[in-house]
Amino acid sequence: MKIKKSNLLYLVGILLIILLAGSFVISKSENLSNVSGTVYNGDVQIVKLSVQNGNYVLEPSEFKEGVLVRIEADLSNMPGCSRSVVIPSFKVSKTFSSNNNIIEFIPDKAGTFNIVCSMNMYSGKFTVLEKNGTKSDYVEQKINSGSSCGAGGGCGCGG
Amino acid sequence: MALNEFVKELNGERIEGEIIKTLMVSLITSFLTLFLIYYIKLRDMNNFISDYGFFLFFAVLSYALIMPSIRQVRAFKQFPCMTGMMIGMTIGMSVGIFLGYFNGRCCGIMGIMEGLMAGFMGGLMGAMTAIMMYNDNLKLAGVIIFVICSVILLGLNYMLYKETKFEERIHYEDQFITIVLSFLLTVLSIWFMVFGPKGVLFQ
Repeated sequence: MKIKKSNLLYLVGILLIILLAGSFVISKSENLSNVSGTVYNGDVQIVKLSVQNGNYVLEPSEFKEGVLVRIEADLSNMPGCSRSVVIPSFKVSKTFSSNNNIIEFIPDKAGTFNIVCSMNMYSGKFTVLEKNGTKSDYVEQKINSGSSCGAGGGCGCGG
Repeated sequence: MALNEFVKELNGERIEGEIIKTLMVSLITSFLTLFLIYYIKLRDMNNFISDYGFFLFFAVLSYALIMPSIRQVRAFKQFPCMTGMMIGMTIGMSVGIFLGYFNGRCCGIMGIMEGLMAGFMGGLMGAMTAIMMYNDNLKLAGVIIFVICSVILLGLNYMLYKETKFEERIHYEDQFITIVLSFLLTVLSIWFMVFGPKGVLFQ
């Protein structure tokens, strides 16, 4: 099929614009995640994560700033979307599976922070202490619990 | 076969011959707007491109695909009821309530209603799906949804061609509406993404 010259030029232009803009976006994007997979040779704070009465429970629930935290999830009592964990303040998100139940991150700020499931149905809190061991006044605003599915921990409803 | 004729008309003198040009005008307008706003206002914002670049890039591509349909609809103004429903629904679900209404109105109340409903439903579904898929390859899903929507929008171009094959074009216009709509949609998208209210997962 013969393509009109002007249309051919437009098509080349469209392709060029998409390529240019796409490569700009890709080149400027960077992986911000500081989640697991990091090889760390310093101290490690090991934390057990489980679900009790629809809330996340971390034991212990206080960590030190700047020291690697390794969260080990107890999947035996983590149903449904509680296995999809998000810590918004540290840009951490992960879906646990039976052979991958660990999150690692380095808390780089002190305060009390939220940990929620990906649908914001399960929630919990933990505290990051200052490097000198004191407690920061910062408390992350409570996330309104209960997504569009309603309260009560039942995830997975959809349109 | 009508599809072959439609492809031929992409090089012809009818409104379908302006589809590719409209696409390019929209792309240039949207990307120019995006880059201008980025360099004037958002360049210093931490991680702007890595946080929003991917989604804005595909939003701009989507608007560019929608513009030819809008131009095609405006060229004929009047469509049968069923066609109006399809126009309202397709565009409504693609970009939302206002454009759905804007396009559906050519065909009476059915088109308007379909546009409103589809826009409302599409907007809510989009937000909900994003939350539900946050940990499940959301970006990949976005690309797949974009490709499917592109095919549907091209299908709308083809359907409009079939419906108006034997009709005279009644409205001639330059690319002003394409430029204005592309500009507005891009600005609104940036505003909503960067400054609008966010769910906890995207804060």
